[in-house]
Amino acid sequence: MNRDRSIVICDDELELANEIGEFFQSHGWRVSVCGTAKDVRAILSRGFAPLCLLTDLRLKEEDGTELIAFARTLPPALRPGVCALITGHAADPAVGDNLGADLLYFKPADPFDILADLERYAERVAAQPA
Amino acid sequence: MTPRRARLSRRIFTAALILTTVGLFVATGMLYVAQDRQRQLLATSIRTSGWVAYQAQLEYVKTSATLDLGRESLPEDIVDRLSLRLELLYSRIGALYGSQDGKALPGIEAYVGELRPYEATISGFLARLEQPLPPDFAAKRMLSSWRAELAPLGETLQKILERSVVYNEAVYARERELAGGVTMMPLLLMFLSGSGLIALLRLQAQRDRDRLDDVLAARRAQAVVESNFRAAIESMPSVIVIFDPVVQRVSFVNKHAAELIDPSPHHPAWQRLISAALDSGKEVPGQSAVAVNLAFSRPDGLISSLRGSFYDVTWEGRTQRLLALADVTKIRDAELQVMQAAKLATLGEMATAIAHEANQPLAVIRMAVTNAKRLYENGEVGEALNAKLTRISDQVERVKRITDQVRRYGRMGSSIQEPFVLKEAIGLAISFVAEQYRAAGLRLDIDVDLPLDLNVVGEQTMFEQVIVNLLVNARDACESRQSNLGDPIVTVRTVLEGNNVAIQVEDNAGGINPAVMNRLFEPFATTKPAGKGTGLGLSVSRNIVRDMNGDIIAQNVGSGARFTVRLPVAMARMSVEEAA
Repeated sequence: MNRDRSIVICDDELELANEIGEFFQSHGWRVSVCGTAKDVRAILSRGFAPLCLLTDLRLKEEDGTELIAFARTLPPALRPGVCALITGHAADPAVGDNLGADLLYFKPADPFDILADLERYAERVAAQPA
Repeated sequence: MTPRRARLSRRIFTAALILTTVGLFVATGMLYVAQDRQRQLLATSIRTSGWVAYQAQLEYVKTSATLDLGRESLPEDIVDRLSLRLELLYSRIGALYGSQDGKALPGIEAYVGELRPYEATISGFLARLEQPLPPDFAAKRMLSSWRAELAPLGETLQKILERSVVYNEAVYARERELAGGVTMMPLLLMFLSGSGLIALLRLQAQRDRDRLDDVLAARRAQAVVESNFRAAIESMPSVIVIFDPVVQRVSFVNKHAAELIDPSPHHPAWQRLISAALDSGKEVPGQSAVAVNLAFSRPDGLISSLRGSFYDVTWEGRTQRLLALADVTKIRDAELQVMQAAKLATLGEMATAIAHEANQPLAVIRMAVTNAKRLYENGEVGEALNAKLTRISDQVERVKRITDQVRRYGRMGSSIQEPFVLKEAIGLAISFVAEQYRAAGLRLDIDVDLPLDLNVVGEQTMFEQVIVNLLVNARDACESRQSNLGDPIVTVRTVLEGNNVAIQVEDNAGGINPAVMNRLFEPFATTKPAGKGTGLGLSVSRNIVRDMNGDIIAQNVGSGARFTVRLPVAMARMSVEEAA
């Protein structure tokens, strides 16, 4: 199943996106790395529904929250299982509601924390009856 | 000849001249009086001589009468009477040409020959009378013959008398003519003209004395003015130096100037100060003064910021230049503090943006470190691990650049003015705010086409602060702008204008309120909401630009505001030490 430990990572800082990708890959995840929101939209529109979508908050052309909002509009079968935001900004407003994401991380976040959160979520999904 | 000796000899000459004039005047008067006296004496002599002639004639008539009496009646005492008469006649005739008076008779010399025989005749008569007279008739005949003998004498005497009378008449007439003040006229005129001359001289002397008094009074007044002026500038709490603009030699320094450099106007540092002031001098439009602004390294090693002006003054009788400077080192220090506060405020506002900027490479580093550790633990210590370490190193470098920028920006400015590359300084200022602009979604257009050897003189970090201030203001304006103005764009542009370079920062955020425009560069004139901005940014920026001998203006253009900083291009690299 596509949803089994798959992740789409989006950051306009490609070096960071690649490192995160490499980390998840080394832990047995299927990884897609994108530099722009447009690329993510293209992947999702192609019918690839990853278990996780991890995106930077401030992208060059589009806000990360907008991208997540778009993902949530997809049909349930195509919708990413969990949407996470990662941001470098120290004082972004309205942190309380995670800016519409399921999970919110601040750079430089510990990769193992992110991995642990997402693994937990994956196990929860796997435990659910098909 | 010394002026003192010249004055002395002039005085002696004047005294001699006065003495000579008075002497001549007295001599002329005396001469006139002597001549007049002589003339009077002459007239008296002439009159006396007439008397002599008259007496002679009278005596002749008396003698003739006595002779006639004797001839007629022959009285008893005829001999005595006749003897008396003849003796008198004899003496009168002698007096005619023998006496002083007689000699004054006109033409008497011509009669001497006629008169002299009569003396002998009369002597003969007298001798005869010594003897007894002949008898009556004979006596009468004798007397009659004497009478006849003397008759021609009578005629001669008559002629002399007549001539004397005519001459006396003439003399009297002339004297009458001269009498009645006429005689005194020349003397009087002489006295009048002399008095006039003296009066004229006295007037002249008075006028000279008045003029001299005026000159002395003016000189005293000038001395008072100069002494007051000296006291005034001596007591001024400013540095005041008066120097000859041609030879640049210092002729006066006041107390504050002496404290700055040295009490002696011959100290070599004065030349340095004057040269530096002349170099930094800038004509003020519409004013005769020349504005001066310089940093001066004092002989004691301290650096003083000096601001002031040049003025033309008359000092010690000639035109010199007065350099009045205020030691604004403390003000400069305070400005630097204000500038520092403004910078730190900006830095505070930018803290989140800086944190974000630093978090990016930190995030990469953290991920890369995690991956590298895994590679190491898996024994993959080859090229892949090396690539990770290189990446980490690069990202550390990136963080360092950010912290360097913050350190540079937070550094306290100095008052040392040095040439720096303008393009580089503008680039640094822009890079400092670039992230903020990116974060705020503002477009920043950069049109800075300057040669890399184009320098301006100033304190570089201060100048960067001016550009950062303008860019931060533009950002704030864009953030509070109305949304109907289209996409916010801020443009940084440079324009070369002869020996000047203009740096323009322009936005399209609607422009500056005209009510604020006039006092835009005054301290605490802010258009930003309370809590944002210090109100000192533009005021401090203007001072920085003025210190660089430039100016800063604001204008509304198109749909926004444009700030133009105009600076003189420094042609050659020149350190502040050389300039000072």
